Amino acid sequence: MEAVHEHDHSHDHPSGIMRWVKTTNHKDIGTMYLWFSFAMFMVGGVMALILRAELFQPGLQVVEPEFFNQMTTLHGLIMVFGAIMPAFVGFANWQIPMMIGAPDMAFPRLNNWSFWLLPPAATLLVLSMFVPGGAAGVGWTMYAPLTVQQGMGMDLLIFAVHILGMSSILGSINIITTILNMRAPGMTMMKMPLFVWTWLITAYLLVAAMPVLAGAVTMTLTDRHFGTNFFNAAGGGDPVLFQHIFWFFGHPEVYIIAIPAFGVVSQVIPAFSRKPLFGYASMVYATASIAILSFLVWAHHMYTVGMPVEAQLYYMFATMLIAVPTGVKVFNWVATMWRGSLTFETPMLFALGFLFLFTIGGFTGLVLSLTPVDVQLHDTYYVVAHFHYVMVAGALFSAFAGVYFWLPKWIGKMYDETLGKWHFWLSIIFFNVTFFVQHFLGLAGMPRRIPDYSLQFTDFNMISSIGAFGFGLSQLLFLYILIKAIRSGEKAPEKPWEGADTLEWTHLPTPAPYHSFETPPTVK
Amino acid sequence: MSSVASGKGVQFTIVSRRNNSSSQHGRLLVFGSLGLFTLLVAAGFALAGAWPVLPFAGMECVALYLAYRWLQRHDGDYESISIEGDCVVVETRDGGKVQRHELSRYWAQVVVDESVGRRRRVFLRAHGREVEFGRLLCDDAKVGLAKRLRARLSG
Repeated sequence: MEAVHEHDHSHDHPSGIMRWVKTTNHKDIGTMYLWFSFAMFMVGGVMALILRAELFQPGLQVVEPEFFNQMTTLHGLIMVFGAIMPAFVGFANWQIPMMIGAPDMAFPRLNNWSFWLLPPAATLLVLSMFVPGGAAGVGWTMYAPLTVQQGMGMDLLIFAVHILGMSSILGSINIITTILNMRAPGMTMMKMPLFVWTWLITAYLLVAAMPVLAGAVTMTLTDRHFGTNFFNAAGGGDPVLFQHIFWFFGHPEVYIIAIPAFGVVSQVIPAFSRKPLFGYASMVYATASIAILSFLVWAHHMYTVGMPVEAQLYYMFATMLIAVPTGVKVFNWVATMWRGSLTFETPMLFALGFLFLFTIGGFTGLVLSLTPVDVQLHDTYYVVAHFHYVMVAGALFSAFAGVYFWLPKWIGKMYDETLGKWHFWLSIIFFNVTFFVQHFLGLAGMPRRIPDYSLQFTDFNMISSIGAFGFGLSQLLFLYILIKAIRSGEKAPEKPWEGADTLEWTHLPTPAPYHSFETPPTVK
Repeated sequence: MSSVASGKGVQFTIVSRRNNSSSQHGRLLVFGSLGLFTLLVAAGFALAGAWPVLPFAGMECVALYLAYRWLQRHDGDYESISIEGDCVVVETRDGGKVQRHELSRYWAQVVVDESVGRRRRVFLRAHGREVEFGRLLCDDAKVGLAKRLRARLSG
């Protein structure tokens, strides 16, 4: 201990591996989420390429059908739970405290635990490939009664889902508490940046939906090992009940992924349009409406189970209703750009890519909401194309936009703009090469989740596979851009984006200090 | 966290409080509605035969309650340092527990722990007793407070 004297120790923090294991700093944890997510994106991506290699031409060339099913399952689960969701939690960790003027998350140790639950869960998922019988080959939807017939890999998958769910719930409670209780003086709810609003709503969805998933997989486990018959028709159970339970979780899950993406885009578009977001209040209400509606439409995934026509009509109209608040958002983004002083740096390009392609995904969703159409297209490649437009072009492009947008604030260095633009153009071209043709395959009747197909589908499958490999390789460029920026990027100016006006840009230096806003700013 | 200085009735007082942006009513509404919705959903599935959703919803409600309870307990946390006659009084409220320490003004020393890699800590020390203060403040504010207090003690 010493006498009183002044030094700036704000950059003192532990170093080495234990810094990352024990850290409670929201920025460190955000960084870990983002790198974990990228690693999982690569693993899930390799699995996707195995699928596309097999589908390059008809017949079985590369893998056995059982392994193909396992890859389908793990690709879906890893991308949803291991890549996209953690990516946006990474953004939340980095950005929410800085955007609301808080020093950290409300429960920093809980935040550390939320992250460190993920690696064991991911390990269980990946290790399940190496146990007797291999990984579960049931699809990410884990439909019964197929789940009852699987090997030990299914049990590992169930435990992994439990752990991932626990991580999500703890993280969500932390985010809700942080946003509610740690806003800087003057930062009223309706002054919060839209990214913060979207995460508040997402956290609500997670808290509401996750126990349902946990219950569903637990019933699957007890059906497999403890003699219950929740879903096993042979024992008096109801396999359709599983679908109801799964999709009650599964449809909000789509918005759990999409809504933070809306938030990122709502920060990026105004910044590069040099205008405030058009219709802020309507954006907040539209996001909340989407979240509420997401709990009311789950059975549109199940039109073909034989539900009464009245139920089909209800789900059809309720699903179509979601297009209204989604349309409000899309038109507001467009109106934000209208007569703006636009520039097209990489974050804006990815945001625009999101806007175009997510809108296409929304439209095909509208097509699928029509019961008579969906009965024809159910479980075809049209559905695969639809949800990849929403998940990849929607969520992933938005995540790329967010990384390029906030990277200077995070590391204090600029990325290579030329390479960033190359990354965007390669991604958007190969993405469309991969997935646009899958609409045609679906309309022609090609079923999803099959390793072999009729000769008539060959050409479009070849195109799709070429696109997939191009898309996958383009993401290595993203890794290179990141490493180059971190190691030798030019020093970022204090405010690299002229139109960015949230607290992290206006009140904090670049890069953001390790501890920020220990004394809250006053927001006017 | 905020600090307020006043001199009413005593020679010197500084009070620091947590920055709470939500009201008790708001918290109850948010956490209560979330828990209620979760339980309603779980009850619906239980009625359809999928009762194992209920325990998970219950566990989640416990987690929500703990978060709510933590916020409530720490809502009124404060720390005050005042100089009253010959005494320096440090009063803290942490999670509902109020502690009051009185030290002799003439023997009290202000010390700062600046161990590298750790947050700064400031203490008042007298007659072998040591009382930490400034826990609700950031590092720079702690040092600032320590300097002001030192000046007052020696003045």
